[in-house]
Parts: sequence; C-alpha cells; structure tokens
Amino acid sequence: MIEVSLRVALDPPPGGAGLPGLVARLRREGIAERRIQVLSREPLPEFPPPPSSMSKLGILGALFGFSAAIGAIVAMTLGYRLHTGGMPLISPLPIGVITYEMTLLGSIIAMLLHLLLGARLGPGRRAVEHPELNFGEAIVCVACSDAEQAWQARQLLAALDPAR
Amino acid sequence: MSTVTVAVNEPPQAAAQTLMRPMLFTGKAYRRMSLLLLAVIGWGLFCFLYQAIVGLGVTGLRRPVFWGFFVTDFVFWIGISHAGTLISAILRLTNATWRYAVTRAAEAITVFALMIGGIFPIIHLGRPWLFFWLAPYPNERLIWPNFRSPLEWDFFAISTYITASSIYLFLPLLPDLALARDRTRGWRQRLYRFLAMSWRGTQQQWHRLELAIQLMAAVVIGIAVSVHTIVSWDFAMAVVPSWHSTIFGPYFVAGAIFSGIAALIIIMAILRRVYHLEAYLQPKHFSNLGKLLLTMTLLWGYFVVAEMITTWYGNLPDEMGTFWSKISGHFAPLFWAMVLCNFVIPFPLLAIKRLRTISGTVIASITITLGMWLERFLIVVPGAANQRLSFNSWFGYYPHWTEISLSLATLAAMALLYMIFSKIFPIISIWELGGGKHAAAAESGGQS
Amino acid sequence: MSQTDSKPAATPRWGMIIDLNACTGCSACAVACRAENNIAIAGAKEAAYNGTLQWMRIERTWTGSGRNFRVENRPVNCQQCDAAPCEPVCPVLATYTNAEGISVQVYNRCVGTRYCGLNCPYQGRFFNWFDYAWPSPMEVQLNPDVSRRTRGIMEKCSFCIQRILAAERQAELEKRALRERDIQPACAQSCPAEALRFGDLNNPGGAVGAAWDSSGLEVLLPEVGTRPKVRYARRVTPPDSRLAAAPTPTAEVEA
Repeated sequence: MIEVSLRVALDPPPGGAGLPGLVARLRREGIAERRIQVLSREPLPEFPPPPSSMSKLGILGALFGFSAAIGAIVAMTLGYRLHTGGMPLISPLPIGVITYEMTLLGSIIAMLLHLLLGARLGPGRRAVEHPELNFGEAIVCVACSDAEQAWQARQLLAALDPAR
Repeated sequence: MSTVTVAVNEPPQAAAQTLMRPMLFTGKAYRRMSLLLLAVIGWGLFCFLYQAIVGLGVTGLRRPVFWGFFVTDFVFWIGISHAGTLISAILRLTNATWRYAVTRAAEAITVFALMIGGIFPIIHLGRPWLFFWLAPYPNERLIWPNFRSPLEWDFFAISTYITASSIYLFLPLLPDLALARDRTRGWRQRLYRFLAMSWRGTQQQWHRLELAIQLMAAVVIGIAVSVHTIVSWDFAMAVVPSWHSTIFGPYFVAGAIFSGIAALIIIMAILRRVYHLEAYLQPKHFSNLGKLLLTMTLLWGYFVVAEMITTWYGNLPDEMGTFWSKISGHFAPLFWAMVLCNFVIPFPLLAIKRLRTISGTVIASITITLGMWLERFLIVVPGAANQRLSFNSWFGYYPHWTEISLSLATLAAMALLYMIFSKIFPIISIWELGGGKHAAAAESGGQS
Repeated sequence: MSQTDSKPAATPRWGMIIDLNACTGCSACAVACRAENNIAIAGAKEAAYNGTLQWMRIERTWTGSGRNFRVENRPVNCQQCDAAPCEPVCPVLATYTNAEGISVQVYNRCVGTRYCGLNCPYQGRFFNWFDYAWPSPMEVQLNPDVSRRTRGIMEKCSFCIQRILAAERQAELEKRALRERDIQPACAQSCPAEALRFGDLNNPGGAVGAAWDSSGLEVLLPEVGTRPKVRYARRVTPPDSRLAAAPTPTAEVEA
C-alpha cells in the first residue's frame, strides 16, 4: 500500500473553507472517505468528534465486571465452606465493596480496549510515520492501492496545495 | 475571568524542544543524586531482609500496638497518590485550562505513590513471603481469601486503582511518545516506537483518545474516592474505640487530597528549578493550586473539629482515653505539632494573597506533608495504644531503626522512580500545551 | 466439685466459667498453659517491653483505698467469642470458629497482618515477634501434641484443643460417648482453688452447662457484643462487719 501525503499549515487556514474544505474537495474528486486521513500533533477543533459507542461499551464493561465479581466471590466462598460460628457465609455488604471496584475496573478495561481497537493502536502494529509533522500543521494522507492511484492522488493533492 | 496563557513566549516547536531536553541530556548532579538514592534504597532493602529473617520484633511494635510506622506510611502514601489522578481528573472534567502544565506531573505522582504505598502492607506482614495468599488464585488447597476482610478490600481497591491510574497516565502520553519517536534516534527511537503503539495522530485517534481520557477521568474519580475510603475502613471497621467512626471515610479522602496537592506543589517546585521550566510552571499555577490547598486546609480543620468535639461531648470512657492522650497526654506534642503544620502555618501563607507566592505555597506544602504524616500516625497508634480494658493499654511504642530506615528508603524510592520517569517521559504534556493554544484561540480563552 | 456424667449432646460447644471469688491470683493457670501449649518465653528484656506471650494471664486491678481497698485478680484468656471480631478481618481466613465453638488459629495459613490482634477487645491474641528459643534443657519439656510456632504468626488460647481431640479419639476407639470429665484444659486442671471450670454448654447436666445462664455470671465487655464462651462468676464482696444491719448479698454463683 502506498500513502500519498500533503503537509499544510493550519495558520493561516488552508484554502477558503479550511482543512475540512480541503478534505471535502478530495472526496468530491472521488476519493473514498476511509482512504483520507488527517494527521496532526494536536486535536483539531475543525473536525468535531462523531458520536461514539465508547460510553456504551464502558457501561457494558461495568456490567461485566459487576457480575463477574459477584459470581466469582460467591463461587469461591461456596467452594470452600467455612464454619463462621453462626455468622452468614455470604454477606452482601462486604461483597459490595469488592464488586464496586471490579465494576469500575471492568468499565475502564472495556473503554481501553475500545480505544486500542478503534484507533488501531497496539504494541505490535506498524504504521507509516511522519516525523516531519510539526505543531500548527496537519498532514492530509490518501491511501492508495497501486502506483497509478498514487500518481492520481499526488496530482490532486498538488492541485489543492494552498501553499502553491 | 483572567485568561491563563500557558506557554508564554515560546512557539510550540521550541516548547517541544525545551520540554524534551531533560529526556535527551543527563547532568552530573542527576547521576550523583540517583546513586545517593540507590544507596538509601539498598540500605532499606537490607533492613527489610533483616526484619524478615529475624522477625518483626526488630520494630518497636508490641501488643497492643500491632500497627505502627508501616501502616502510617501506607495510609500516607496512598493519600499522596490522590494528588494526581483525582486532581487531574477534576481539573479535566471542569475543563480548567491552567491544568495543562500540571496534570502529567500529578498523574505520575499517583502511580509511583501507589507503588510505594502498596509495598507497605507487604513489608508490614509477619511472613511477607506469603503475601500472594491475599490474591484469589486457584490453588491445590481450594482455599480462597476472605472477602469480608477490609484488608482484602484494600487488595482489590489498590490493584484496581494502580491499573486505572497507570492507564490514565499512559493514554495522554501517547501523542507525546509519538513526538519523541519522531524526534529521536537509535535506542531511544526504538523504545518510543514501542511505547507509542503506532500513534499517528489521525483525527479518528484524537477523537477516541480525547473521549477515552474524558470518560476515564470520571471513572477514576469514583475509584480514587473509594480507595481512600476503603483504606479508612481498615480502621473504621475495627472495634477499636477511637477508630470505629463513621466520619473516617470522608475524613481520609479529604486528608488524602490535602496531602496530595501539597506533594504536587513540592514536586512542581523541584521540577521547575531542576529542569528550568519557569516558563511553564508559573506563579499562577502555584497560586491556583494554593487556593485549592487553602480549601482543603479549611476542610481538614473542619473534619478534625467535627471528630474531636463529638468525641469530647459524648464523653464515652472508651474513647476519652485516646482523646486525652492526644490533647494533653502522651501524644500531645505530636498532636499540637500536627495542628501547627496543617493549619496554623499554612493557613496565613495560603490565605493572604501577598504570601501565596511560589515559596509561600512550597513552605505550606512542606509543613502540610509533615503534618499529614503525623495525622496518620496519630490515628493509628493512639487508637491501638488505648484499649477498652485499662490493663491492656500500653504507651511504650516508639519506632526502631528498621522502621525509620524503611520509611526513608521508600521516600528515596519514590524520588528515584520520579526522576527516572522524568528522564524517559516528558513531564509536562507537550501536545496539550500546543492544543491548549489552539483551543484557546478557538474559544477565546479558558478561565482560571 | 460435683461433675455429673450425663451424656453430652452430639456436637459439644465448649465453654468456661471462671470464679473470681475463688481465684487467688496464684498464676498456676498461666504457668500450666505455658507448659502445655509450648508458649515461648520471650525473656526479661521483652517482658519489660510488652513483648511476652501469655495465652492465659492474670490481670490485677486495684480499686478504692483504705478500708475499701480491693484487689481483683482476673484470669484472662481468649474469650472464645461466638461473634468473634478477630475472625472476619483476617484476609486469608487463618482464624475461624470451628464446629465445637472454639475460635481456632490456623498457624500454617497466618501471614501476620496482626489485624485480628487489634480487633480483639480483650487483647487475647499474641504475635510471634521473633523465632523464640528454648534453651537447653527446656526443649525437653516441649509438648509433642502442640506445634511450635515460627516468627511472624499469631497465636492464642485454643481451649487446649489437643486434649479435646485426644479425648474424642479415645472415645471413638472405645466406641462410647465422649465424657465431659475426660477433658480439662491445662489451666483448669492446675487451678488449686478450682476457680476455672471447663465443660460442654450443650450438656445441661454438666458442671458448666448447668450454671451457664445463672445471673451471677458476667462477660467481659458485654457492650462489644462478642458473645464470649468464657464467663466470670462475679466477685461478691463480703459484708462489712460495721454494717451488720445491711442486707447480706446473696451469692448465686455456685449452682
């Protein structure tokens, strides 16, 4: 896979409609949205975040942690029945304390997994790096499958370069 | 509504260079300091081995003061750990833009203070080599830990907290690690390439990262509050008269945030001096944190008064032993030193605007850190020393050299861990400073 | 001492009555306990620093002055609570109430958090601060039925569980019911004044079972709600000769 990129300064805003306008032009020229990436050193307010399922997954993770904790504690306590001298073997309040912690832990882990998978992050992955990227700049990348597509993309980006 | 500009004169490119300088160059003083700290840690290791081999009798602990310095240190360090995650999470959720320069330093305190604090329950065990019996792992005896024990709650709470706060420290580091990867060569680049986990800075990544940090900030506050509540329940769940108190949960949490902010101010002052970060850690930051600290001073004072006056008015004989031993008895010098350190000295320093300078807040923070250690000691030891049956009370406890050495060695370990961290990772969030400028321009500034 | 031989109930529940009127404070119980249970001798230096181990100890309290001066000798051991505060706080389940109502300490499991020791309102638990030595020839008198404890673990009165188990085994071998009189903890056996009586609370005809609910008995720190299985026969002060008109207090201690 080949990646074609264009480096633009954010200040002054590139093009008439800014960076989002540049991306929109690329899409009008027939480049699929998933092929276009905008790289930056800082989050860009020009691109508002789309709705995300992360909070829902966090709640799911919390539910998983909650039920896993209760299930494990009850199973372990019943697995080794202790003489408690008339005290209850399983008491809800102390279990609640540990369950609370496990609930929040489940939520955190679920959100972390959502982030790592959704943002394609992970220790084993390799990605094209752009060490030339600076603060106050952005890099518009277009992923291309072959040399011909790359040539077209390069032409297109050169035409759109605000610095030209 | 004053706007705090974060990086004054330097453009982000130059800022990145300044902030990465400690990661690239190491001075002679740093090496000397690390060697000194390593020596202290080595001495502490020796003390621990000596204590494990000879027995806990080498400490000053005896019946009924079964808990002393080690438990005090444990509660103290867990309290310090609230500096970070809790403060930075609150600042993030309230979107206080002056936070950019302090969050990373605070989050790192959390992780390391938790590591140090988490060691103490093990040091404190009679048979420390069997500490893993507290973990619920499958074993041939089919025996599990006791989920009804507050110490078991501690185990779960602290392991949850250390996991969550490590994640919470690491996520905002990702963009900076990618920057470090792109600006270094050789083994450093390989290290940062591994740590940055192929972060590119695509907008999808930014959106998810910012959302994850925001959501985790909310969850981490829930964890942090529960952790110190559970630590306080080690005492409050016991039937020891002065420990068995409903106020202990919030009292400990407030004390933890109190000592946490103090520790953060001290570390910020050291970083500012050592790494020449005057442009980033400005008097404004110290003043703002000083205001937070002032709030906590007042809250702490309120809790102490609430705790003491109800005990005194109730006049229950079981509790009055502990009360009078603090007010006018065996522990009175420590008690009044605590009041001096936690309230009398810091209050004017923080309340009077002219005194709320960098040196003013640092002095207040140092006395508060000492005072909060004393406060933990004065909860643990006088409670244990005053027993319901008068023939069981005993006031002979004093710390022996192993306890003092181990307390100092863990302090050295904390300092060394922090020094190493500040060498490998940018101690001030670079992308947030850049992003802060960008966002400030977009929405005409945040408020202090 | 009148002990009946009526058959105890299927599962015994062991308890002890300590008669404060009879106790002279001679400490024979403490010495016998030490010999029976291999309790370490920490030495003079440790004794001065509260570092001794005494499963059974005599606590003396002085009250009043002049003619009203009173000395009370109170033997204190583990009170074998039904609702023992020491038990739920142990993170590794090293202490629990066994089927016969004895709060037992599992030495092998104990990791030494010492939480149980703090949560015992009677301070009946002792920690092995060191590996204690039995200098020759003291090691010869070590009881082979009781394990020696290593450093770093808690220990406490077990109601001489080794004697209970031996008696139960013997009864099983002889295919007969357990006889209450066969079991005597070392402290009760050695008390010259017979101030300590041990027996099965489920046996209403037994020496302890019969007297268990009499009003002359008290427990230490009832307000903590521990429901101990050690009860004390209250000290009854003899009437002052100058107050002959005063009504004589009735002693309801002896059943």
